[in-house]
Amino acid sequence: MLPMTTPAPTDERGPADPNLLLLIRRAAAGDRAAFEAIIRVHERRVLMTALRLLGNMDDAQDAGQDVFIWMHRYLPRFDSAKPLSPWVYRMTVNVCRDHWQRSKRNRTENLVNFEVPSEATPHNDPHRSLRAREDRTILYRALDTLPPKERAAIVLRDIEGLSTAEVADVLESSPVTVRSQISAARLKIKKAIERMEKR
Amino acid sequence: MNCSTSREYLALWVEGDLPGTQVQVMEEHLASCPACRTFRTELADSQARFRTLIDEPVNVEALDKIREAVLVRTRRGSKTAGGKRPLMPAWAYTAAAALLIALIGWTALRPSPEAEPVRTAQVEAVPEEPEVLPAPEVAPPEPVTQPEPVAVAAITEAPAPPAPAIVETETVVADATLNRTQSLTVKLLTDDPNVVIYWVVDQVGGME
Repeated sequence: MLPMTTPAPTDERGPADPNLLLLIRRAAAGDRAAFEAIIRVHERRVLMTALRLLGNMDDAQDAGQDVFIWMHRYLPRFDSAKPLSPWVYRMTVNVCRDHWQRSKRNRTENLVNFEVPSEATPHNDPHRSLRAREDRTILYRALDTLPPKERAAIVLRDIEGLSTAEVADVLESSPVTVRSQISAARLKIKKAIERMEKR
Repeated sequence: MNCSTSREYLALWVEGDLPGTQVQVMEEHLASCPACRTFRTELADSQARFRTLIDEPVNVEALDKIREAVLVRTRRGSKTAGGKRPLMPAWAYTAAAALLIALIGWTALRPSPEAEPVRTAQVEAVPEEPEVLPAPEVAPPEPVTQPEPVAVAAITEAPAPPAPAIVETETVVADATLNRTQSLTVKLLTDDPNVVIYWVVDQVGGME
């Protein structure tokens, strides 16, 4: 583990956090404690992004593992002058795309058995919990209607809070294309929510 | 601007993603289109609902599982990577083994250089086959129990290289007067008195 005096590394979107930079260098040199610390910084966003892209927790956990295995393998090649987050998001999107392709055959079955993760109901009030759970189900179902590129674009922009330019960087696309994808995705989400609420 | 384009723009405008040059055009259209104003309100609602996913709690157990699994898998990988590295890749070892086997096989199966003089002797020793055989007035033929030709090398001691040179060839016609199924025996004498080579040729054409 890191010494207690080391300030906790924060995630970065701009210039690289010096603490994180140090961790990256140590992890790339084989320091397992440093690598574990990097995992802890990024694990939440990797898991939740994967969950929103793939729609179920089992696949999201598998994808999360794959992302960090890739990170372990390629961290020595990472340009530490750049921020780590876009790199992690890019790996997450690419790994999820592979998982999505592999599970394409079971897609219909997934939709039929669609279930929102139980951790998505944080309230103690059972009525509120039920309502929150229903809301999550509707939102995940709405997300599931989107093609992968639109889904990735809207998750990164609206849930993860990246700018359009950052989304374009992660998806290795142009800002114009990303804006078009985001616009289409928001309109489809609106339509899907309305359709499901009318049922 | 028509309503269809307006709604595409609205989907960007609602979260501040519409470029500044298009915002003014958008607002002019909204001012004159009640349907698009309603659409804007609905879109803002659906976006607000969608963004509630930001506050979705994280499954801590899942995070622990991922971290543990990754650390185990990378530890295994590190042991492999940090262990003794092979000097050559696996395919190089396979190729080397195949080459060695091929070399051994070729050495074992190739014609022995010692056989060369015998071949030469064979060519020299084979008599012209008579077209017409003489009358059967000579001694009775040696008993030949096996019609197939058999090569016999009478070696009393283990041959030591180099092979003895053939110094004399003696043709023993077992029964040249008999029919073509009889055998012809060629005795090859070498400079080593312990090595005598018998060469039996049948008259049909096969030889050993």
